[in-house]
Amino acid sequence: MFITKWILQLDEDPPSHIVTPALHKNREQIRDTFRDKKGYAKSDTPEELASFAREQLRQDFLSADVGITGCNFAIAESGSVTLVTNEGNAEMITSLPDTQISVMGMERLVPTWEDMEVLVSLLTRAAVGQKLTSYITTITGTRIEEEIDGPDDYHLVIVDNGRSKILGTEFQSALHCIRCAACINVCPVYRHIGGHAYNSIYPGPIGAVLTPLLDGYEDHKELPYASSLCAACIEACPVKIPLHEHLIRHREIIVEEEKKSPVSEKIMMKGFAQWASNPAAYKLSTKVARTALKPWTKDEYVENGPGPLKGWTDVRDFPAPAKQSFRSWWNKRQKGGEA
Amino acid sequence: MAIQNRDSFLSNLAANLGRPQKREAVIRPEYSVQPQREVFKDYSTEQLIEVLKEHCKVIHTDFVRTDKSDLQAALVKVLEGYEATSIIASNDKRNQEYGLDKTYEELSKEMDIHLWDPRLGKENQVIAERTDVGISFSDITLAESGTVALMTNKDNGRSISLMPKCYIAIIPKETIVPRMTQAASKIHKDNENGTIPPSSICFVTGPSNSADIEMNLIVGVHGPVKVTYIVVN
Ligand code: SF4
Repeated sequence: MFITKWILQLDEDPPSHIVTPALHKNREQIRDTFRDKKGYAKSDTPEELASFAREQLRQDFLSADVGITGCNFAIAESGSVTLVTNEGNAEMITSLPDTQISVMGMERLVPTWEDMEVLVSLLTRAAVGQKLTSYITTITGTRIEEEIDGPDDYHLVIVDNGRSKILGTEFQSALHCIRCAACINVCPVYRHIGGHAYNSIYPGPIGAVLTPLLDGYEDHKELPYASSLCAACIEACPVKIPLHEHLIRHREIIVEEEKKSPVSEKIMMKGFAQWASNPAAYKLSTKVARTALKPWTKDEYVENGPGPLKGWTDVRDFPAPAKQSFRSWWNKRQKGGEA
Repeated sequence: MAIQNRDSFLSNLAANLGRPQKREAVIRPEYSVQPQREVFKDYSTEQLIEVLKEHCKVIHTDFVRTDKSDLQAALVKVLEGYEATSIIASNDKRNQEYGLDKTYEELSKEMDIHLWDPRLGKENQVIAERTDVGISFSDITLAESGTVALMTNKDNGRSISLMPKCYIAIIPKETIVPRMTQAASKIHKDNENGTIPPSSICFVTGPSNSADIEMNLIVGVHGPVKVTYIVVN
């Protein structure tokens, strides 16, 4: 289990981000949770907190009868399931318990290993700026005779949960999402209101598109308005989902077809106007978005990447977070700097 | 194997797409753009080793290069650096080819050496958990991302690379390919030719890590804390 998901479980707190679920917690809060729930007595340095979690969870991994995982991609040709992590949690869960259950959204399916590879490369790059994460684990069925690690009883649960209703509609491309969170990281509205405000496990632009589709407009009619339509999300999205076009379409449906009051749109846009016209607030929140990827990107990235990456960049731009926001680019341009 | 609700699931999909259920297989298109195949395309093995070495710096992994004849000395040096008192290793056929069987025999005079043994069952995992260093061979090595692909079999458990505090991957030079593309293509082709993939293939890139606590990078979470790659000529 991801350390932070464990923290949230101890706290009975929902996640606020799909890649780093406890983004809303600081280390003092995490230390307090460990102290109150698990008798932790050390400091609040991330290293000590993580090593405490490692010890505690190891015992759980070794003694568990059943391991439950999600699934990043399922490969049709060999019936394999791929899990992408950095911590090694999926490795533990799929190696040690005798029974394994993988829960997979029905749209996670790719035809072959070759297609899986392309999507994994897109995912790790867009999610955390890594070439590959520390662990890409692929499981094909149960362990074979005489093998020790891996389950001897394996269940794959394919979840529809409203997804099939999106098939064949104008929103179908939302099912292409590989859950990289790039759109969330660049979204100025997300940075402003935080993950919990979306009231869904999928926050940010993709959450605003998907949640009303999966769960109906009734409880989520504000979500399509949680966007400045700045299109930063589309630019970041590695699979090119036209997120803000979907949001506009949601608004049209809400306003026209359901005759829901357009008042909320006015209110939302007013809130946005106030915030966007406050340069300090706008600058701060867009800057933070760009540092969110920093831990992994130290020596990475296209501009100092070796020549052969050109093959990729020739075809399309990578979703590396822009060094410059539109605003700073504009300011520079106004002052006669290069575009 | 039992498959439940398959028909209702598929007919629901077909209905939502407004067409009858497909009975024949979809033919996979030839993709017109495949930039992934261009990366390091004409690189020699030497150049790929350079790429791998450079990338090891990014993934917090120590890089060592040696000839077969000096492998023992190189390995012992890394083990000393780790202050190892116990080792768990795969019972790989390549141990003989690379002289590691002799190395382990010698080392067993001064430390605990356990070679993966299917007859011991789950005991292997318990040993792995309390052991300092795991050692196994890379089956395919990806230069671009600094990744070793580890294929499970009865003599090579996943716990070896996962449970001990430190992990050493022995990388035969000829296992090095440009990137994951080549590994995926090989597994895909083998599968088409009737060889199903091993029960697990783990693509391991350096030590486990997390940046989940306030976005600070911590190296060494559930898996190993330290990793060394030894490339053998
Ligand atoms: S919509 Fe695109 S950018 Fe957002 S999480 Fe999904 S794949 Fe990533």
